[in-house]
Amino acid sequence: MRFLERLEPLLWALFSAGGTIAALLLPVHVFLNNIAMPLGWFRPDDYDYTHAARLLGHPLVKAYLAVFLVPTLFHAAHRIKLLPHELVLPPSPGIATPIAYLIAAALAIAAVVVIVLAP
Amino acid sequence: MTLRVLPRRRVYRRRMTLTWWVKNPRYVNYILREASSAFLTVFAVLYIVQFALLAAGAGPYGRYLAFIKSPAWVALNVIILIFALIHTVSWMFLATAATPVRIGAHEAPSWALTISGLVIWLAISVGVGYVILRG
Amino acid sequence: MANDDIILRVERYDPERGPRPYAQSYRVPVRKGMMVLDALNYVRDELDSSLAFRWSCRMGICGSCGMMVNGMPKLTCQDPVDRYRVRAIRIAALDHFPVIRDLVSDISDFMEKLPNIQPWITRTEEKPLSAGEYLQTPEERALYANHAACINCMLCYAACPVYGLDERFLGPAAIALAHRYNLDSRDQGEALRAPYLSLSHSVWECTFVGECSEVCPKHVMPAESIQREKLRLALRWLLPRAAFRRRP
Ligand code: SF4
Ligand code: FES
Repeated sequence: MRFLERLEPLLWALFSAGGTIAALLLPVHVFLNNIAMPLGWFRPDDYDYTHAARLLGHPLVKAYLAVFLVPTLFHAAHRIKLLPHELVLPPSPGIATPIAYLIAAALAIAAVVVIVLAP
Repeated sequence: MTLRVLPRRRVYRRRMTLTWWVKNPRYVNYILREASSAFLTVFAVLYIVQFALLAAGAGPYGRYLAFIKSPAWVALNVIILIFALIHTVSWMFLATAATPVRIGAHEAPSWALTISGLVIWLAISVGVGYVILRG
Repeated sequence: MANDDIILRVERYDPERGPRPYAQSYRVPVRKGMMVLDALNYVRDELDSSLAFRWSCRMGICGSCGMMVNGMPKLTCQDPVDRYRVRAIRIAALDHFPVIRDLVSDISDFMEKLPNIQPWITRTEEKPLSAGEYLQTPEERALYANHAACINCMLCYAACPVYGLDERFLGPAAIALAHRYNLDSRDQGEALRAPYLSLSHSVWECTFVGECSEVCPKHVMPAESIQREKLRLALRWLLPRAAFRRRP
């Protein structure tokens, strides 16, 4: 916990960066990739394997996705760690904090790995 | 330094109740905005799974494309979208209140910053959308 | 006459009587321009001299008359009775503070924390007297003026769920005051305030609920000042030392 206390400014900076990035980018991704695509609202070949593979194959797209997802995960962890405390009342934040950041870190690593591996 | 006027057992402490946030619409707003973070995480997980299947090749990715046609998937993502929008709009209010932007000697009014933020968001969304669809 | 009466439903507490608070209602005739505090004074003068509450200036300056009125923290001397369209107005001591008696809160937690942020102008290098006073332009004053208007009424603490959940939190008014001095062109104490302000329970525990700024009667904007202190502390942590040379 001492350790996390010293990292507070960094975690807050990540929280702020991730909050801004998610605010700007997330809605359009959810809407196009997870709603419009399954419902087939656009040209069908926009969503096939070749199209997706060509997009993900581009190094700029990979970098973009990493910069999008990693700070977003840490942004979310910063808020999630307090939700049980706020909704269920004490015990105080205590253990929820390191757990939330560990999960965010694990997901961030997973995200970077699959982004790099995807064709 | 101790200034306590009375020993602690002589005072009455009113405790917060489980429903504290229901009583004030601004608290409800706050909890919704904080809860949005859970849905941002769910979205990130869905994206990670999608990329993993893409990495696995055309076969698994084809099965993914078939799976996402289910109504449950669309329903889940409509909820994610609602919370994503809650996050975007509330963030534009929070970020602009927290960041002083000075124009000359005066601070820019935060409503002007909020509106600029929303305009920038729409412009970026159109740009990202174009790349996803046509890139 | 009787039609214009209102009922004050007061949450009372008397340690001699028992550990739990109890409700007591008073019928008060409404006069034109009556504030909630006037109604309480009517109760004490005419109906029940045992009712305990704090007040002094009756003009929104001393900050001692803060209470929960219908569940919201209010300066009762500035809160007109006729704003409440209901006949019964609920009055209780401020949320989140221990209650000493009736409507009187114990705010010593705040008073104990306050000196830690060093709420005074700090100079690391003093000018000689002959060099004159430390002057400030109107623009330099305008930078912190609204953060300097705090009257320590504690409405912001009563509005803050973070403080309600965890009493260790330094809280809105104290951080707003630290921010006020950090923004003051005559002050050089930011580096001295930084170690205490960067503790977990100081600025970082705040989640920007924002309700403190909503209830503040003096538009101190504590919520905004806390986020701005976070920004200053984060930059101080992330950027090299050299970026933070002391102000001349
Ligand atoms: S910041 Fe506002 S609400 Fe808080 S104590 Fe000062 S005047 Fe009262
Ligand atoms: S009595 Fe002084 S502020 Fe209300």
